[in-house]
Amino acid sequence: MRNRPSAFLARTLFLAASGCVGTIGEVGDPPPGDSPPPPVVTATEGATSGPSATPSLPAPLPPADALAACKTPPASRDLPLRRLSARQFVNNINAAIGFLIPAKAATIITEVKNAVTAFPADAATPPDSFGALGFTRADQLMSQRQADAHHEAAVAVGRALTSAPDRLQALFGTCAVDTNRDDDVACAAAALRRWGPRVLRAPLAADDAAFFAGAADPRRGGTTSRAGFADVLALLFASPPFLFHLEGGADDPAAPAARLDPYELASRLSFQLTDGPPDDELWTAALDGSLLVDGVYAAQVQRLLASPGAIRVRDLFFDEWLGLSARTPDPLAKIPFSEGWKAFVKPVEAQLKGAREEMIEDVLEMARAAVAQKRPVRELLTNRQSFARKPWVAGVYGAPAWDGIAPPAAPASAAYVGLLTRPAFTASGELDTHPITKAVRIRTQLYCDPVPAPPAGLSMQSERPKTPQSTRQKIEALTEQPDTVCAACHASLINPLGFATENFDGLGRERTTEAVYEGAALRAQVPVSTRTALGDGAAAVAADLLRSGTFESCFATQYFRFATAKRQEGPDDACRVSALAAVAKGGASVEELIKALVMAPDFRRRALPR
Amino acid sequence: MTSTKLTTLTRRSFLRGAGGATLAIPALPSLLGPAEARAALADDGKLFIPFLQIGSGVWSAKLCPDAAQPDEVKPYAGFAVQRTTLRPEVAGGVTRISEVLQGPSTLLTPRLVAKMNVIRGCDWPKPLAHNHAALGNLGAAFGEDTGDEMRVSVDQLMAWSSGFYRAFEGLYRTVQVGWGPGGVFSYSNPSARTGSIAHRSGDGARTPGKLFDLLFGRFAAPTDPAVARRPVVDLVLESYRRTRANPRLSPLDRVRLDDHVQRIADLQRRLTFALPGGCAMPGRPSADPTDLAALEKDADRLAALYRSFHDLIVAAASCDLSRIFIYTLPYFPVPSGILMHHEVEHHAMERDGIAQARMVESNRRIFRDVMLPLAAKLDAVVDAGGRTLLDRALLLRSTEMGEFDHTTTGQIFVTIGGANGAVRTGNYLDYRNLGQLAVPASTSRVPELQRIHLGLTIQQFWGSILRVMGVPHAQWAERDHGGYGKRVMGKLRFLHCCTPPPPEQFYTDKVWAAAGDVLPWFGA
Repeated sequence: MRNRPSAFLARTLFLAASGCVGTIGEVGDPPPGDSPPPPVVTATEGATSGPSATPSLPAPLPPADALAACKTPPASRDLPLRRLSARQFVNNINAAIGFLIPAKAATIITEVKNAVTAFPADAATPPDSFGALGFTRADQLMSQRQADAHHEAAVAVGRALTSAPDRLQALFGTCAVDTNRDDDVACAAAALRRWGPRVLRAPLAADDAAFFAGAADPRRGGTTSRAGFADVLALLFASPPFLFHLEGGADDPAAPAARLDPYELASRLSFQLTDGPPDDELWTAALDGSLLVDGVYAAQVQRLLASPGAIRVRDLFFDEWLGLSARTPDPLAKIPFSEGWKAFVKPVEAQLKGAREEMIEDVLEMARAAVAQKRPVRELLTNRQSFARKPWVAGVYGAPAWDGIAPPAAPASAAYVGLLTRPAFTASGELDTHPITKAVRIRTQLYCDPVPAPPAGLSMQSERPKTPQSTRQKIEALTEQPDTVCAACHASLINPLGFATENFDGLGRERTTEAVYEGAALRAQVPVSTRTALGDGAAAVAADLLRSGTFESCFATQYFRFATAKRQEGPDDACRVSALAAVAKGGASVEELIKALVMAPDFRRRALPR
Repeated sequence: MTSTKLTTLTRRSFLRGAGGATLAIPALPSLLGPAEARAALADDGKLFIPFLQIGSGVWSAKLCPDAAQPDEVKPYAGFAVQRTTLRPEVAGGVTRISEVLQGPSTLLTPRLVAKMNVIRGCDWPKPLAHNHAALGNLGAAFGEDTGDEMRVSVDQLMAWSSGFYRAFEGLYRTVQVGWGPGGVFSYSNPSARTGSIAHRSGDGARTPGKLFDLLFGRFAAPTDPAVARRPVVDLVLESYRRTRANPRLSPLDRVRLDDHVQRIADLQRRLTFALPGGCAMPGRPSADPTDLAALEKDADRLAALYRSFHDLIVAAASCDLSRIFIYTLPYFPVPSGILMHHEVEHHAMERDGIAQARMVESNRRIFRDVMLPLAAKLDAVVDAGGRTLLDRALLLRSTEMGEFDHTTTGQIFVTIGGANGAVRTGNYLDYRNLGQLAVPASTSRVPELQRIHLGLTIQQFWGSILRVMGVPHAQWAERDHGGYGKRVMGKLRFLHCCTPPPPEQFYTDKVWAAAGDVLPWFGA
């Protein structure tokens, strides 16, 4: 819920109408290198059956006092047949290998790594807004490449799990390693009844077990039993329940929503919080049905939130929400291609190795601390402490390197006001400080405002400046000429958010002047200005974000998108998002907000998509 | 187990040395008997090979040849259009059609020039800045609500059309190589032509090694007879059908499952696909780059990478593994390391000309170092009738933007190949209305913005492409005009210059009435 609905609405309408010109992780992370092209999503997959669906700008949420309708809220619909994310898919396979053959799991996971991680990486899928960043979970598109990769991974896992007699025996028993092929199907069926449900995260009916076991039928070819058992496993891993959330609605198709059964709930909760399938304890609670008891469920939520998997998932959320991996530059990358930048960074070049990763880690550590210490959501924006463990970024802050134990020090300079002035937000990795990029990131990610695409005909005819100019001056000359369509958005809604941190250079260091180079030669030092209509500097932007809870509302919106795999919320989601926003604005911590989402009745039922 | 056949090459097929460009695959003996040859004749085996480029904004005068004296001028759609035979200049070992379109005379031979077209004057009649429209779907704008303009891209229309693949017997309907703009838009269930339209990762690879694995990898691996069994995919398919019967799933869940069943079925077909006996398998490229981000900063290394796809593409086309190969190209940075979009294209109109010169060089490299070498290799594979792979093909340079950055008017298309005789070649085709200035009183200080002429519609261009490639009109017909894509017009804008009169003054009823024609002089 936003406390400033009129301001938000005005901004949204203005942006829409003006036509302004304008991985973290280890196991489970998709492999680099073969990621899909830039995300282009035009419709929520499966949400419509017509030839095309019309995306639209996010509807402004109703104000708090206008949410009487939420007393009988419209059903917030689930997406149809959600699939696991690429990360979840990998984790699901690794976890299955882990409980099938624990003693050999590490070896087998290594053996199948190439095949499993060939599953296409998800594209960060943004809402309808130019320049917005989205979540990989929201990439619910299915493609032929995914179908192929899923199958190939399943076949590889089947082969690896049966590649030695001890593995075969561990999984299927002695009947799998005898010379009698006639009992292979029965042998497989018996084993499937033991561990098939765990792999598929659901009960396995007798006829289903018989179906999967049929893959071991000797009549399908080959001269050994081993290949048949490999096929059983391949079939199991390649089947729909492994890749998709198969959640039943009500038995009555006319009913709008139905409570999830304990297996479905365990699976949904586990993937939501840890990006992996239910662990032993959660699975047990599903098996005995106790997970449907509120107290048991709450205890499982609390337990999972403290797990390492939950920390990785929160890291993923913070990374994608704030665009850390997507936007943080490597200061070394531009050196070979810019004489000016090369000269600029030369005095500190030796210290810059790993600087990008450390800038990202500084933000993630801050977020982890906020979660661990149960600090209010707004402190994600206002925390000024330096969490940099390595000298370079710590030096940028003018603070000692953090030891990871003692309370981190705050920078001496008041210019560092929190998130907006962390090097991951201000560094550009080159001489130009990219105020427009900085601003669009703040506008879309922290205000949750949509930004319309630049209009056609964006052809610049600016003169090269005769006198040295700051980045701000150049941007103003390009985009803020009176009576141009560019100025309509840039002058008031975009540029100020970026200009506010022009007192930081391309490395994220505080500055009062901007170095202007001509080739490798320093041509001038030009004063920088951070004064905007909002006030002076990043503190003014932060204050604007905090005023009336815009930051907390946006945080709730972003977490809702992440949690529900929706690229943007729809009208039916308004009450859920508003309820979360109210929690955040009430001073709740990140963990409390997450709990509010997963404890809500909406999370524990399936509302049929439409 | 099904098999496929070579539809084009016979045992008399041979490689033709083309200006020093030789193909690294051996001649392919044919398994075709007379009956199969007749079938091959009926299935004309056209190849569609688009080169999708991000950005642009290269001025037309730098892309197009001089046409001061056209060979033909004729009235069409209410104004005069013109054709000029391509007559390149040759000097110093370089053949030059225009500043951008030039290359070594050993590659850009008179024979190859005669198989080219340069096409100018097909506009998207509404302002559109960033888009994924290089394969036609102009509804795919960045961050704009254009939902009702979304269309399946032309490659996908071909891929799932019986007019293009009479009886699909290849391995992949389309193959993408490299990375770049996402121009491919398909239905979630393309075979049924149902579901949402969205960009989807197609079958393809970013590096040559991965492309080899995709196309030939399975055939390269030895089969152990002890474990040789029927692929389990038939049971996987059945598992999807069993899941579908779950009464608790919603109708939309079942739609998603149905869409995926179609993909599993396609996988099943490919897992039982046998490489034709006469198909010569190329070797796996020895070195595959891993740091693509670093590579992306260097135009020369990018060109080398993209050229290393060519032999695999030619081999795949020769073996009829696919007939649609989509090259998606990132920016080729000039100079190395520069951000071509923000640091160059955004400055395309600056009067010092530095940005334009960089854009010309970048585009020249893509043409000279990537597109042209592939054309030469395709032209080196000849069948018994003297027809080369290039003769069957239509290579198409297509870009995100037109002659001014962030506009889609003034787009320049370059084609090579005759689409098996369906395309007339060797011409510069100018469809602009040269008798009417788009902006009668331009105040721009940039000469290029003083004399803007608009022309026919891009709907007609893409419709022409679909028609010459054999896709029946019924499969992409619009309600209110004969071209491809929605009939839409919007107020045009040329920033920092001028605002033209309403688009209806240029894109008249006569122009829209012509949208269903194959472009003049383009169709054979």
